[in-house]
Amino acid sequence: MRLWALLAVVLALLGHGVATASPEPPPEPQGVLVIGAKSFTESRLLGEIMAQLVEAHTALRVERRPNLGGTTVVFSALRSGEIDLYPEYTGTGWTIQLRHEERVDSPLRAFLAVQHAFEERWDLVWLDPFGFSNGYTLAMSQERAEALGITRISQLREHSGELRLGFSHEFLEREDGYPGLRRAYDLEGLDPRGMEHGLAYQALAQGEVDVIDTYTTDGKLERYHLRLLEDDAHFFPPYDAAPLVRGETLRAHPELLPLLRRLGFSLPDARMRALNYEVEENKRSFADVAREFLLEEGLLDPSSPTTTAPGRDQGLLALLWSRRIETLRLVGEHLALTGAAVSLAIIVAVPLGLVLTRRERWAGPVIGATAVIQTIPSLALLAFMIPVPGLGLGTTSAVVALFLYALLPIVRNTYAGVRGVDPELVEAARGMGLTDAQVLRLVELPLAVRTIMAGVRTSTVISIGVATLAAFIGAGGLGDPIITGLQLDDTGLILSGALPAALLAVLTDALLGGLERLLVPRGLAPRRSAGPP
Amino acid sequence: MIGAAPSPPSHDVTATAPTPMIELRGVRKEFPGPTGTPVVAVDGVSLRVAAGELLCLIGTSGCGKTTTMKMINRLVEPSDGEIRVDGRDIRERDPTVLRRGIGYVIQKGGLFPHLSVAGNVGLLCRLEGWERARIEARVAELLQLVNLAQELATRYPRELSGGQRQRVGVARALALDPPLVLMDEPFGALDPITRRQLHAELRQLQDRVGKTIVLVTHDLGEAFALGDRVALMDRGRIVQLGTEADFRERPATPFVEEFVREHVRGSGA
Ligand SMILES: Nc1ncnc2c1ncn2[C@@H]1O[C@H](COP(=O)(O)OP(=O)(O)O)[C@@H](O)[C@H]1O
Ligand SMILES: [Mg+2]
Repeated sequence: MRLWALLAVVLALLGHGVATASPEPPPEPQGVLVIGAKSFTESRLLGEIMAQLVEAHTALRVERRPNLGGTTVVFSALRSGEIDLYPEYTGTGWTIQLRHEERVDSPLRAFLAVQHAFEERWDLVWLDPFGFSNGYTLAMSQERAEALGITRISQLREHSGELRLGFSHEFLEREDGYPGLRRAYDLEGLDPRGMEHGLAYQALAQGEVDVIDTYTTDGKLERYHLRLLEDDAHFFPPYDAAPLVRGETLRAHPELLPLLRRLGFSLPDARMRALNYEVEENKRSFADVAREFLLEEGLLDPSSPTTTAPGRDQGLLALLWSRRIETLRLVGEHLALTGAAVSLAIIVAVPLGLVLTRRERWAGPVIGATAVIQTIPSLALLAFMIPVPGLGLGTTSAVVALFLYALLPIVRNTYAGVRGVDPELVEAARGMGLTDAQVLRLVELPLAVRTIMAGVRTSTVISIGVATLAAFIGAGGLGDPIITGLQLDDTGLILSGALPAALLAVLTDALLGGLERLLVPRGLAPRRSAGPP
Repeated sequence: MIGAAPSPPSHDVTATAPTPMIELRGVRKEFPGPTGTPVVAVDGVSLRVAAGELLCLIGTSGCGKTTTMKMINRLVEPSDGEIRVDGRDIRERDPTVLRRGIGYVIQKGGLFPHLSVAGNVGLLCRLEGWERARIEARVAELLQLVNLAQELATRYPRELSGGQRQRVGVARALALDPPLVLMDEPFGALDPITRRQLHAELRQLQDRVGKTIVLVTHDLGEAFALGDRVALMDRGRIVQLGTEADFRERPATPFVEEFVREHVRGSGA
């Protein structure tokens, strides 16, 4: 009975978490347009430009999902209808979604090919391109390139011994990234290492790496003195950006088509790079820069209301203080995510661990299975949830993923804790005439409580950490400022998420430690180590 | 020396007597062995224990004493044979109900470390749904019975000496006033002085409460000191069942004669 009551509370909590993370749909379902973006400056800026344009010229309420990770996440969100549109690149459509192995050299052919195929296969529409191509390119510092006399990618091979390559993880993986590049230029001898793109420029500036991958419209190109290497074998496919919209959405809101077309060819390379620079280097908000652009283009009425955010150039303490309300809200989201996930995990894993002590043969396979879940990289596990019906983007997926992560320590410790109870005591209890249920409740569980609690603490601390990645699938939490900060190379913003997250982990662990002292029977010797094993 | 009930004249199980408290007939127990061939732990044991009698099971380690005892409270199910407690076949009884009527004491007491002395002693009363005041009174009564100070009620097992723990174990076994008590090497872990003291106390207790007791030991001096009768086991069988005088004057086999000579001298009794 009490278990059911607890389950009801957790489900209510879960429902609450979902409700707060994704606001309830307005009375008329056609009234909302969800605009997504990948987790990097340009994509978010384009998303914000489209969002403000739609807000200014239609009655639709726009919901922004600006931190949707990489292509896989945002594209499955679009296909499942979690979002209505996002800015995509033709080269990505060609190689990632359509899986073409052969190269396409002409930008126009690439655009027509993806436009046709996407409409045919998925009822997704490529609207008019924004006018710039943000292709991959390789960059070196001016001085280093000068010293080695490198201007073209084909020259890299001659310096394979002396060059250190630092490439983003996505670039290392993608067929139109390093794997293809290596074959096209025969770069066998080079051994690139993976790094977060937001950190690559700094690594380049400090001379830790010599060559990085970047985009032709990257705002940072304006600040660092970099040399873009010529793609003399014409390997990199064209990367023209355009809004990618669900056909369904366009049919439901016909006014969107002419409206979004007004953005067509309004952003040549240099313009896009300048806008990126405003956000990344001048620390202005996405909303500000998007609004300024739309005003200059005459697409926005100067008297329209603004949502200007405060300038971002301030000291860390001032930043933390100015974000205190926002931080509290994020802490709340973070706690709701981890609280729901760990509570569910306790409800499932403790009984499961107990069953395993009664069915020894299942113990290996079941604990093994939960261990396998833990080996899946967190981001991948989060991404797996999106296409699952009923999960999609947001809190539910995040809770399910965190829940799966939280299982192992609790199952394993429950099993080990109960198994570790002195068999003589169990036999004494049975011999006295305790029923199986009484043996479990009065002897085995109290004696295993310390070990079980150690598992719960481990799970909670892991969950608080992994939950910072939940922002990638739109579940909010303290990961939001961390991800945005990484993109913008804004240490203050990163810390405004990371510090509370770390503090939260420490405090929660201490709190559970206190709870453990209350739960562990007085007669047992005080524990020797303070933390979970 | 001899308890309230008269001891049966001999180990002849076919002899007619008032309904014995415990009766084993041709009881056998095989465990699956590591190589596939079964291990015979108990090999055709028949015996009767009269109400109020204290019977000691003795023998070398591994001869089947514990297994024999655990079959009486159904912690182990026999492979063959029949066991009756108070005239009723135990296979027909619910194990939990059966066990609540049989006290059980094991080596080192088997106390639950997370429960206080009072918690351990009163556990079964609690499970039987007794009121708080009645449980407290019963715990006090039992502590007095086993010569323990009342202040110990709130202590935890790790705060007790070995002898105190053993007394708590006995008190716990007597909580529901069972007519029958099984004790598996209850004094095995104690120093000789404490052990002898507890022997005397157990005899007094036995005189007062008149329980039927089966006590397993590997110490022949202890068996002679405590038992109305002694059953010597070897390789799963009872080789002799009788009084101290029977063992000394009429050893059934050379093995018994040897065992008595070795062990009585060895234990210094
Ligand atoms: N659960 C069991 N599984 C397998 N063999 C057992 C088990 N319990 C006891 N035995 C074996 O049965 C024999 C008798 O054991 P036991 O009754 O404990 O002897 P004692 O109490 O006289 O020392 C020993 O050989 C022991 O190894
Ligand atoms: Mg034994």
